[in-house]
Amino acid sequence: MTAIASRVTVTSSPALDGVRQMAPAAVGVLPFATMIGVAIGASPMSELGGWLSGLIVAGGSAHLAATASITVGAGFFATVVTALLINSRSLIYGALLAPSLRTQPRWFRWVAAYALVDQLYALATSVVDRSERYVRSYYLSAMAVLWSAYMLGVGAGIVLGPVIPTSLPLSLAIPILFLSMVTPGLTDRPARVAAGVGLLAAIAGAALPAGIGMVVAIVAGTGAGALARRRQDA
Amino acid sequence: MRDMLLMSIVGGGTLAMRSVFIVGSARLPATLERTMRHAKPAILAALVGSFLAAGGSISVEGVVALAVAGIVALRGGGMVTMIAAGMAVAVALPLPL
Repeated sequence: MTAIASRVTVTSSPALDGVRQMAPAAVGVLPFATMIGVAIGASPMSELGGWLSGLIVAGGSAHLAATASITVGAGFFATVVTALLINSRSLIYGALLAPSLRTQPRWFRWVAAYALVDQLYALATSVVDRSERYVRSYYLSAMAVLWSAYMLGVGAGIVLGPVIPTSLPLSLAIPILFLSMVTPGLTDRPARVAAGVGLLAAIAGAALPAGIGMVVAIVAGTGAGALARRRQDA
Repeated sequence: MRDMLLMSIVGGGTLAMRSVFIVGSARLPATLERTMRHAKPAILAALVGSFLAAGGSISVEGVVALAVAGIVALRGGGMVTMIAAGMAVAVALPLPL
């Protein structure tokens, strides 16, 4: 199976490329989405409302955090701020993708912004140098595959929650998924420095509330990568 | 009703953050844009770290599972193989998660 981040094969059908290259990531998302479904099943939310909220929140980690906060009876404001902070990395993704999407039609930019989760960001950056039409078809098909898998997984978790063994490490699929995305791109020293610092900073900052550690880790890793590039070029 | 309102605010706020650069006219300063070229490996690795150490503690199973998945990747394995191998190891390990 092709690792998606840098080993992207381009065929004459962008939609098919999007489906094929997102499929492994979609498989990886299923266990995590199932875990979120189990959490929804254990929360005071209605099952249908909890399932549909996946489309409203548009981000797995924030969806899980909001569900967990509702379950433990956390305050309205605290829950909103927590979930938004977790999704704040979307701001960085948007800033990075925007120059490549500037010539796309407005409707597509809205759709792209709505659906811009981690996996789509990783995949989209691999094809942004292609034609407008290619990027559009590719992005939409990859988005459809990923979001279908996510909603399917959440639904499965809600329905099957009571019979899923709690010992199953469903949440582990997500870090492995991102590991498989980052490894093909570690081809030079600046990339390895950026990844190493990002990884260590995220672990060190994991105890910080509301995903702040994640944002700090992205900034630290990016800065370290840029410094390593400057040293290499000097 | 309150829960759906909460989710809608989170969804609306998230869309606003995602669209400010993609749909809006906001642009990053050129220097920052150059620096951000190194963001992708940092972002993906930070995602690995934040999920691995979710809640502030790292499980032995998680580290071993990631190590096994990493070895699979080095040997040319794909994403699904990595996930299957990593999760199989985590399930097989006797330590409590």
